[in-house]
Amino acid sequence: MIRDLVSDLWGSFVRSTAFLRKDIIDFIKQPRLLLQLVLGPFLILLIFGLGFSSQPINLQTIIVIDKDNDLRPFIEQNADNLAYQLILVDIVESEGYAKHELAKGRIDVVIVVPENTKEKIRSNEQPVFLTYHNIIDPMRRNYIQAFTDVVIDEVNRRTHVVAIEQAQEEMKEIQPRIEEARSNATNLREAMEQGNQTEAQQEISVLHQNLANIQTGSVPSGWLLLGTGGLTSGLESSGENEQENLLAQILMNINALSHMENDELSSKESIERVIQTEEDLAEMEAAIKSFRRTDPIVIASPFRGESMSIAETETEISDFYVPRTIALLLQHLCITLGALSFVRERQTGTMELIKASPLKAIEVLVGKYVAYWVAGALAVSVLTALLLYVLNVPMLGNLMEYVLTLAALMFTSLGFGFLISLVSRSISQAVQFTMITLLASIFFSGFFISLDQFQWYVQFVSWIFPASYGIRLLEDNMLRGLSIELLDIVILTGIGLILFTIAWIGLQRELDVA
Amino acid sequence: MDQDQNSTKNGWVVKTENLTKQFGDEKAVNELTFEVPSGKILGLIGPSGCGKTTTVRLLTGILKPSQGQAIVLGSDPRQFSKANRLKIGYMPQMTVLYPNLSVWENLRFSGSIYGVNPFGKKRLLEILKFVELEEHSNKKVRDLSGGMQRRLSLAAAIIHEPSLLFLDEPTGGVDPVLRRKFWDHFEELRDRGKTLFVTTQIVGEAAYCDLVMVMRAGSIIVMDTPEGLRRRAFNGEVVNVKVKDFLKNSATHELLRIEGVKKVLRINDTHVQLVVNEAKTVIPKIINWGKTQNIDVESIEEYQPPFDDVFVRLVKNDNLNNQKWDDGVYYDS
Repeated sequence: MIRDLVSDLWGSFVRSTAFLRKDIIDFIKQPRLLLQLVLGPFLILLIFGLGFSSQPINLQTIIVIDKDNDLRPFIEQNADNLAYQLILVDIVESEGYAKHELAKGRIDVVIVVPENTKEKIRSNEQPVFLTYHNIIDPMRRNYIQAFTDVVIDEVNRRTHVVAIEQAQEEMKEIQPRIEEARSNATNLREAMEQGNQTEAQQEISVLHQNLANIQTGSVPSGWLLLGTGGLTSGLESSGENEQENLLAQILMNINALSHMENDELSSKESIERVIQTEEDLAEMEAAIKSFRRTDPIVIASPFRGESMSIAETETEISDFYVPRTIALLLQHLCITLGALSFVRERQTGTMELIKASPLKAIEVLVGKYVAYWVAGALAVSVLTALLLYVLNVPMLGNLMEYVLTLAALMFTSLGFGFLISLVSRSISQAVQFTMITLLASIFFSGFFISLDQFQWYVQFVSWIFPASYGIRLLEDNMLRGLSIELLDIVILTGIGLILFTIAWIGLQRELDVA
Repeated sequence: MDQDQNSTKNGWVVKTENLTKQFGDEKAVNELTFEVPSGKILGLIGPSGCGKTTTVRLLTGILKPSQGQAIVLGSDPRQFSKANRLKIGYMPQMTVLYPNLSVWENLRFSGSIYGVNPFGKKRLLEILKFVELEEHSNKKVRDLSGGMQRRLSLAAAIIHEPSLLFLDEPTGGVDPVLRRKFWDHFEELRDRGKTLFVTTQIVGEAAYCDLVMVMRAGSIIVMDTPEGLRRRAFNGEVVNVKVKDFLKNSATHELLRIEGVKKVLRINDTHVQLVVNEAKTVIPKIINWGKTQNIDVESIEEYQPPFDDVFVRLVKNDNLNNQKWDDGVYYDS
């Protein structure tokens, strides 16, 4: 009994290894195929890494602006450095000419500067900088919109800087008057404390006059921007011009003093009012000094952003594509090997031999799975070694987890391949199916476009492809150094097992007597 | 198992009854009923498309019959056990070899699918010697000649020492010298006790078979020994008679009066061909006829018509719905 069982198992093993050995030898004896499978992807990544520029795409730009436009001097002065990507070709007046150049493909972008900007702003309207392009690629179109936003933000920012510089210049004149007013207030307080009412009345008159001059002589925008200087010290704002209100408050106090009788001027309450005025003027003086000291660029753009990665390595673009390329190529290799397998056996007549032999479907299938698994492992091992030691691609994760991911990826991909092979009637049909699977994987596995950008039902389709799991797992393993998601491995292997079962049933049916 | 023993007891390894295979409306094989005795070479001869390969596929369990049944090694081929399959060797019409693999690797693959120890070399060397390929064992199949590839296919079919061999046109596209060698191999295998079921389009190969089955349009025309086929084709044995001088018609008619002479075919003025019941008893009577008729006979000998002629004659007979020739004198046209 046990002897029969052992004999059966040995026979089964020998029959399975028939295909295992044959397919591996067949694979190894095709050096060109091996070279193609290993060196092909390696060279693609090498050329990609060497040739890809991660710099933003430069855009040859023509700016259209009338010679009478108020913004013309500003544009002429700033146009060639508004954005890194903007390569200024010309500043012209004719929109038609610029659009013609765009249509001919000689430039990438036309920016039309709006007219009557001051009037529009005064009438509470935002003048529009219009950007024209001739791009049909939706991703490049988004890039152009982002470029337009960058340019306009820069125009707005520089406009603010000019206004702030102007206000700082105005405040240069206001500052000594405030100092003088504060000195008058000190003299007034001293006269009031000494009971010298005549001198006090004189000081009140001088102070009132000085403050009135400050209030009427300064440009409102100066006070407004002085107010925005407060943003640098805190985010709270009442929404009103605090400094201008303060000045009005001081004037009101001084005005009240000027209408007092002599005996009232010596009262404690009056002296406190003057002390308050002194403090207010000191505060105003400090605010002006602070405003003048502050860089106009800081006031115009109080905040700036920087991003930092918590990932352990800074990846180059070619490094970034390595896990994706490995996953996609390994999937394609295994699907191709599997897809051609039974079709070729059928074409060479081996299927007839198998049908007449004692071989069982499971023995053939296991033999072929292991053979192609070994072949794939051989190819990917050489490729990985080349990537790690020649291209210096980072490998932050655990090597065993990397191997486990590849093993699961190959197993499931082979299942897809065998399924294709069993439904295809010819080699060309199998190749067609393989190519369609490759194309679908490029689009839906996250190779180029992140899966998050798809609707849920498309994402559902995406997760059928082994490469989708492979890309995520290899990326986490190689570039982030994270432990692999076991759930991903379980689902991937689960799909592989389902495919194995389907292939088994399919092959069994094919081997059954017709 | 019982059936297997029965088949051995009855002396046959293959038995069919009204075996029919229909593809759509077309009957590829029509009501075949025959037996293949154990330890013999059965040649299945017929033109291309007559149903030879379909018959082999039915007997090897690759195809399911539409009607009738076959018993091979005591079992229905549709339900062959592993043990049954291990006793059968099959050489398909198409050369099923892997061009990138060497002779040795191909042979080892074929052995492995039948469970032959992949680590053992003895059997492989033995079989390579048998098909005279031992010096080419490291050559890739794609570098072998067509004849060598057919020999390797034969080796692959017998690597597991089957007792019943189905060889589908094994000599197709092989030169006459090599063909003869193939038949030497087949005879050697037969002498070792194997049963061979060989299909061929080459009619002359019937001479090497123990039994010949002639097929046409899916049906069996006749099944007999090679000698039996000749007799059936000509309705007796053939004797050539050549005379030195012009043979008169009256003398020709006298020949018909000899006991055992069934037909006289006049080939030319000095040559007639006789169909007789038994050549060895009729020839002395013809010599006597020459003497009595005063005819100078140059030669009298039994003629073994080539199987091409036998085959054509059998087909012609079949066309005439097995119509027998009437006795009489016929003139060669």
